Amino acid sequence: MIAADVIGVNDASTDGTPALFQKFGVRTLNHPIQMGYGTTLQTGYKYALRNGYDYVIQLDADGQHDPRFLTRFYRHLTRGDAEIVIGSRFLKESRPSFYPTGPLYSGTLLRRIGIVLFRIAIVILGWRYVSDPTSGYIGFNRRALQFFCGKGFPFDYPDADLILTLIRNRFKLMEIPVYMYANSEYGKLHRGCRPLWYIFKVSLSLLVTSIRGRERELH
Amino acid sequence: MLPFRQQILILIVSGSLLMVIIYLIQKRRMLELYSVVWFLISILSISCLWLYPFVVWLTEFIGAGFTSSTILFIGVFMGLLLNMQLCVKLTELTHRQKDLIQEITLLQNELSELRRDHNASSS
Repeated sequence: MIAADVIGVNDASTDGTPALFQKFGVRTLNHPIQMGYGTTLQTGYKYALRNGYDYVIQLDADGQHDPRFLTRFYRHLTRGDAEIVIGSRFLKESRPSFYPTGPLYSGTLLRRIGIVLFRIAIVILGWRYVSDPTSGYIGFNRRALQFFCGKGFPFDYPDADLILTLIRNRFKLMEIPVYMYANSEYGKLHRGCRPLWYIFKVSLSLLVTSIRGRERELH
Repeated sequence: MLPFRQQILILIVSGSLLMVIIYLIQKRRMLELYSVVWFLISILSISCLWLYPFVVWLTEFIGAGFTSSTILFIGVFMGLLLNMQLCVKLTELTHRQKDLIQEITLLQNELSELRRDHNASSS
C-alpha cells in the first residue's frame, strides 16, 4: 500500500466539483477566477513544490484516467526508470493484470489525426517516438516538478509541445500502458472550431519549441 | 508640395490625435509606456507636411502608383506595430495575472489550513 496525498485543483468551476472534493475529503486549491487547463495544472505543481513532494502523478478529474495505474507510475519513478512517466492509451499490455471498467477513449477524428501528426512531429523534431504525446496522465519526479513550475511550462494548454520541451531539455521519459475512458461530457476544447485552434496552437508551439534553446530550471 | 486643403486636414487630424494622447495621459487613462507608438504615429502624420518630398521618393522607390497609397501603407504598418506592442504587453500581463492568481490560490489554501489548525487547537 502506498500513502499519497490527493490534491484537487478547482478552476473556478460551477458544476459542483468543489463540493465533490469536500465530500471525499480531498484537499482543494480553488482558483478565484477561471484560468484554464495549463494554469490549473501549474497551480497544483507549485503547491507540490512548496510542500516538498518528491513525486507527482497527475490525472484528470473527469473520470478519463483509471487510478488503478497510479502504483505503476510510482514504482517506475521511485526506481528511477524515468524522470517522467507518461500513461499511453495506445500501448497495450500482453497480459493485463486488470481490465477496463468502461468504454475506452476513442476521440474525434480530428483529434486522432492530430495525435498522429504530433507523434510524427516529435519524431522529426525530437528524435524520439512517443505513442501518446497528448496524454494528460503523467507522473514525474522533483526535478521535472521544478521545471514545470518555471517559464518552460506552456501554461495555456500543455500538450505535445510539452513532451517536445521535455525531450529537448534532456529529461528521461518512458511510457507505460494505461486505460483512458471516454468522458461523458466533451470539454470546451472539443466544441466548435476549437479542435482546429488546438491543432494550430500545438503545431506552432512544437515549431517554436524546436528552435528554442534549453530552458533554465528552477532550483 | 501637398495641396493646401490636405495640409490643413493632416494638421487638424494629427494635432487632435496628439492632444487626445496628452489628455489621456494627463487624466491617467493611458500610461506613458503605451503612448510611445501613438506619439510616433501622430508625429509621423504631422511630418508628412514637410517630409512630402520623401513620401514622393518612397512612392517611387516602392513602386506605388500614388503618394496616398504610400501614406495608407505607412498608416496600416503603424497600426500593425501598435497591435503588436499591445499583444506583447498583453502576454506579459497574462503571465503576471497567472502568477498572481496562483499565489492567491496557494495563500488562500495556507490561510484555511492555518484557520483549521487554530480552531482545532483552541477547541
